[in-house]
Amino acid sequence: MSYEVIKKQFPALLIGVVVGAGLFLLGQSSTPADRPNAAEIGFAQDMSVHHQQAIEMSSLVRERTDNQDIRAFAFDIINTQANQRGMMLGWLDLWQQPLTAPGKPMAWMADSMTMNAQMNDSFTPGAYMPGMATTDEMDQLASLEGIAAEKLFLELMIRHHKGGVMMAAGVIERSDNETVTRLAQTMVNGQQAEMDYMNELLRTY
Amino acid sequence: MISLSALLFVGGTWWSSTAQQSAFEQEIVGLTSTIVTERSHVQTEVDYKDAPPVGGNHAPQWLACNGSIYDEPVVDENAVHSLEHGAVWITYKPDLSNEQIEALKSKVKGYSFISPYPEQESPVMLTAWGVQLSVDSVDDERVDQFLAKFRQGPQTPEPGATCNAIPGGM
Repeated sequence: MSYEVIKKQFPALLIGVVVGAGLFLLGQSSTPADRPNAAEIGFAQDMSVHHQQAIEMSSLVRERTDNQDIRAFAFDIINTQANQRGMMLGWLDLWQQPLTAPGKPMAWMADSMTMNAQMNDSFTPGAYMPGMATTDEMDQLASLEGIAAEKLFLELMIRHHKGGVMMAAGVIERSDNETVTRLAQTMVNGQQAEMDYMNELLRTY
Repeated sequence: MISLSALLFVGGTWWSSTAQQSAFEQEIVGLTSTIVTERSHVQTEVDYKDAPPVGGNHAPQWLACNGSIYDEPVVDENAVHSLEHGAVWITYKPDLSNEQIEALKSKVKGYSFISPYPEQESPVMLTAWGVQLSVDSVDDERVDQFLAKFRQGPQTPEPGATCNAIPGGM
């Protein structure tokens, strides 16, 4: 091909390469995991933050009590939620999305009026996301010892799980990605079971 | 130009179809599945219908299950909690030959544990949450298939939960 021919056919060549590259990507990314929607991205970003606080609360209470039931339960939460954060951050990495949400928290669930109402109910003034403890509440937990710390931990974690269950249920409604909905469903079931256990523990004081 | 697009398209399709088949998709002949509906923490004994149990309510404390070898029978209520965390529980009848027991123990790595189970019917059984397999010998190829599929398998109720021992003991 002479230079003149290449120059003349350049637009066609360019279109061919762009279309070809597009089809290549299409052929490659045929699973839903590669095409996240806004709710899946928002859930992974926000739930990672939500889980992080559960880990922090559990770490705090482990240092503030000798009660082995509470310490074992907190150890369980620390490991499970830290690993689940890793799963969600891994999705974001594969999706090439920011690990931290650039916008407002919970924007991905703001599309439903009912959800808005529910979210407002479970938002503590000053808290970042549904069920999360405020900075003051975290400081209070860090200032207590023994039974007082255990009770506040249980109360805060029950509320935390309630918010977590709502967020997980929210993504299940908005996603058909099996990887996302499977993990979210285990959060709904698991955190519900843990709330029952924590209520049981609270009744023993 | 069309041929270039076609070439790239075919290449892309070939690329995605060569992805490795997932162990999750492997069918295991003779596997029994149970839908487990209860999974609360209880401080009491639980009446399990399977031996060994495949799930259900359980003790708040889980057994260490990170390649853990128990030479005596373990408490069902603790073992079921380990199943909830994604472990495979290998069990054998105590009269199994030493050679077979040692071969089974050599397969116990992360997210699995082994113990004798006198009340079970088959010589060797593998259990994960909601699924179970009976085999006559460690040489059965399904032993490795089961381990590949169900250590932290897709049916795990608590993905990410730990198999490490609880610090400070149970």
